[in-house]
Amino acid sequence: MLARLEYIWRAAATGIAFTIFGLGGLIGGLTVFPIIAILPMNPETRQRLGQRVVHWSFRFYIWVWSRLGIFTWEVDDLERLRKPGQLIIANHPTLIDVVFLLSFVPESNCVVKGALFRNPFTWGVVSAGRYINNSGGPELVDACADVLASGNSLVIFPEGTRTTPGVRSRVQRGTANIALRSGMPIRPVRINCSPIALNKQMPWYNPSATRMHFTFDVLEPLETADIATSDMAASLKARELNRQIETVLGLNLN
Amino acid sequence: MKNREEILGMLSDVMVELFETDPAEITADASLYDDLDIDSIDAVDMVIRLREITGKKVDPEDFKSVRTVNDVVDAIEKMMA
Repeated sequence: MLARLEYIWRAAATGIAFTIFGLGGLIGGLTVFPIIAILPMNPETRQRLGQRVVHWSFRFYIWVWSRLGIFTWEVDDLERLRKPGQLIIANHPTLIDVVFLLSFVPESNCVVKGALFRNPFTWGVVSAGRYINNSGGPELVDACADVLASGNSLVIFPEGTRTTPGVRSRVQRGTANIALRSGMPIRPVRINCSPIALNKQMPWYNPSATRMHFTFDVLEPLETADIATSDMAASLKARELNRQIETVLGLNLN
Repeated sequence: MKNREEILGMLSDVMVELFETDPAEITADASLYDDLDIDSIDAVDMVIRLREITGKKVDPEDFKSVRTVNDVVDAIEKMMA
């Protein structure tokens, strides 16, 4: 009985959580973002300010959501993520992975789905940070390499979409190409969510039987210099690095 | 001037060289992205290599809508004409 009540509460709390996020995005898009847009400052400062605002709002959301009781979470070695100009990659088990990651990194760019630029609840967020649209191949690599070259960190999910349990992930080589182009080592973060929820099979109103627990392992950098300086063709370097990315994130283990 | 079979043979060699593609999978109807795991970044490398081999100028527009191996052969034919 108590378990049933707790389940219903968590479903309701998840709904409240998303409402807060959506309203925050909508209102922010109408107020905070335009203010940032008209403040007199150079474009790069403006973009970093936008990213900081997103960072603070996402820290707030994580705090509120955990108070609502929909998850618990832990992370170690946070200072590893605070170094600027890193290519931060992670696996993608749930819908809210990016909220956590951007709450950890004070100033970061992010590769996001194009649809978010057309969604009124997320438009303000992705515009404030000047996040990068994930459509486009070579242009995406150029844009991301530029971001990293300017000293901005970049968060990217190599899978390009949430992992579906039991289904092989197609790990897009965009991330590998960006790493090889920019010459930056990769900072991998392994995200674990147990029990799993908020993936493509479990919408927000169907929470897991018990509360989700998130762990974030911020790993040692994945060096790319060996591959980069080898005499393989560029396309083969990307394939080899992609395999290493798959391994370090624990993807497609079978 | 090459015929389609020769073009396909040359293209096959390029794909094996650049992408480690399994030659058995390179059929006319094979989809570059879904069947052969050749993405848009690979396509740029492929076009550069084709230009090196044929010595012909490539119009990137011809390759924009390429989806299958057949489409690539068509584009190369157009290049050589």
